Amino acid sequence: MKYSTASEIDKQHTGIPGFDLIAYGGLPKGRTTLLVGTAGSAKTVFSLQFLASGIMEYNQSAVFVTFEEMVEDIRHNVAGFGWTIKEWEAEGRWAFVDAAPRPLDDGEILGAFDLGALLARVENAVRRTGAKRVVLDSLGAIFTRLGDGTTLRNELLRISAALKTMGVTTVMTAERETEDGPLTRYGIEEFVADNVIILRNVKDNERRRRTCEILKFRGAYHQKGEFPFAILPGTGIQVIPLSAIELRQSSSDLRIPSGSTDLDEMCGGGFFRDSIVLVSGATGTGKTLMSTHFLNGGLKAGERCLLLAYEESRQQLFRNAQGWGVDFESAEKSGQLRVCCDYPEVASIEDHLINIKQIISDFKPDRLAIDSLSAIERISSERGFREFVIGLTSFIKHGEVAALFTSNTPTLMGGSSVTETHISSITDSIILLRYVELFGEISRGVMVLKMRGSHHDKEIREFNIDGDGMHIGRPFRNITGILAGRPQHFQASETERIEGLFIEPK
Amino acid sequence: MTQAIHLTLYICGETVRSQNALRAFDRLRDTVGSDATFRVVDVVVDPDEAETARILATPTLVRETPQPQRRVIGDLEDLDQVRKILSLPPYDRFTR
Repeated sequence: MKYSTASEIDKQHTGIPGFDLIAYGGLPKGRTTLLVGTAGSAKTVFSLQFLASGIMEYNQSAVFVTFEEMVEDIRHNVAGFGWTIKEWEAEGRWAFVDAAPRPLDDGEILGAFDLGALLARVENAVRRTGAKRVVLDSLGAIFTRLGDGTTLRNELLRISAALKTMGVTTVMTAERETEDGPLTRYGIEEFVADNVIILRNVKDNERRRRTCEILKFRGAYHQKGEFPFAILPGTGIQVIPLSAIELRQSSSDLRIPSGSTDLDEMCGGGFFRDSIVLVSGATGTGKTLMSTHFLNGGLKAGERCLLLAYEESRQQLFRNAQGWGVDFESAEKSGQLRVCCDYPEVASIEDHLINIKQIISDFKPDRLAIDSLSAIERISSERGFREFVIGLTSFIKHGEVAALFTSNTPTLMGGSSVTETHISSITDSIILLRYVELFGEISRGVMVLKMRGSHHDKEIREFNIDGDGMHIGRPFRNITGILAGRPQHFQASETERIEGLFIEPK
Repeated sequence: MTQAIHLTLYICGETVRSQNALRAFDRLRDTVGSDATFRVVDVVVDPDEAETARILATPTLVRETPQPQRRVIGDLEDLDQVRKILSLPPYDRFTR
C-alpha cells in the first residue's frame, strides 16, 4: 500500500526503525510536530534519536534545546545508544541550546516579556550548524518556570513559525498528566497542533507496554492506531509496524520432510516449504520431541535450522535429543544448527520479537522451531502476545522459513489454550497431541487438525515414544471424545465384530 | 567591602517592550551611585552573549555584582519593586 499523491506534503525520514513505515515516510518536512507522553514515555529518547539518525544517516545537523535535563547528563545518558554527541559538537554538526533550569537563572517576573532571547539563541544555533532538525524538550518546563501561559503559547507559536521559515523540521515535546486525559498540561496542542504524536507507556497486567501513535499529520497520510515499540541498548527506539506488514508473500507447493515418515504420511506428504505449523498438547505429550524431529529432518536434508527454546536449557535439550537418537551437538558445531535458550522473563515481548528477527536475519535458517510459544505468552498481555505472533509469522513468511511452534494446553486432557485461539488462524497447519486414558492406561494420540492446501489424515492415531523417537501407529477405534478430553469406549457393532473375526492373523 | 553595582539589560530588537525597559533602565541610572556600571545587550545582535548568560526571556535585567547574581524578567514597569528585588538603593526624592 502506498499513499502518494502530488498534493501530499514532503516527509522527512526520521531514521527511527519502523516509525517511517507507519508515518508513510517520516515527519512532515519543515513543520513542527508535537510529541506528547506521560513521564517516562521515552519522549526525550525519541527526539534525541530523531536528531542522531539525522546526523548518522542523512548527514543533517541538529540543534537540541533542553528545558529540563542538563546538557552534561544528556551527553552521558545517550552514550549507551552509540550516539557520540560530544564528537558531533566538536565537528559543528550538533549544538545544544541550554535552557535547563539552574538556581538564580530565572528572576521574578515584573511586567510583560517575550521569549526573544530563546528564539535568538535557537536561530543562532541553527545558522551556525546549518541544522535541518531541531528539538525542543520539554515545553512543560518553561510553563512552570515562567508562569504566564498566554504569553508562552504565543511565543512558542512564534518560534515554531520562525523555524518553519528557516526550513527546519522541528519536534517539540510536552508532558501529559494521564494516558487518557488532555493531550498536554498547558494546552500547547492548540497552538502547535498540525502534527501530533503520542507515546504511551501503559501498565497492562503488571507489565509495561510502550506504544506510539500518530494522532494527526495535517495534509499527510499516516497509519492509524497504536504501534508497540521497544528501546534497545545500542540502537535505541524500534517501532514494530504491525499493520504495515503486507500479506504478499509468495507461496510454495514444495513439500519438505517433517522429520517423521509417519507424520509425513498423515500430512499427505510432508509440510509445505513455507508453512507455519502449530503443535499443541499438554505437558509431556511429545511437543519438544516433535520439534526435535522437525529440526532433525531439516538437518538431514542439509538445511540450516534454528531452535529458540524458552523452557529448557541447552544441556537438557541436547541430552533429550541424544535420547531420541538425534545429535544436536555436532550439528551446532558444524554451524548448520543454532540453538538459542532464554528465559522469556529476561526481556519484554517487544524486545524478544526484535531479538528473534535479528537472529533470523543473521542466521538465515531454512527451518525454525520455537519451543514453546506458551512460555512467551506468560510474559505478555493478550494484545501484546497477539501482536508478537502476527509480527513474527509475517516476518517468517516473508523470509520463506518453515516454522514449527509448540503450544502448551493448560489441562492434561483435551482442552485448548489461549495461544491457539490467537494464532490458529495464522498458522497453516495444526497438529494436536493428546493424552487418551482408557481402562486405567494412558496412551498418546496425534492428529492433524488442519493442513492448509492439502489432503491430510483425519484420524486420531496412537503414537509411542522410544529410543528412536516418535512412532505413529494405528488409529483409535471404538473411542469417542478424545478431543474433548473425555474418551469413551463403545462396543463395536455386530457387523464390525463379525468382520473382524474373519481377518486372518498375520 | 561592598562590590560595585554592575547591571546588564538584555533586550530583543526595537520593540515597545524593549523601549519601555530601556526607559526604566535609564531611570535606574539616576538613582544608583556613580560607580555603578550599566550595559545593554541586544540578543538579536549578540545571541552568543545570551547563550553564555542563558537568557530565555526578554527583557531580562541582571545584577551581575554584587554577588550572588539576581535577575528580573519583564519590562520593569514597577521600578520600586525592581529596586527591592535587586537590593538597589531606594529612590529618595529629597536627595535629588
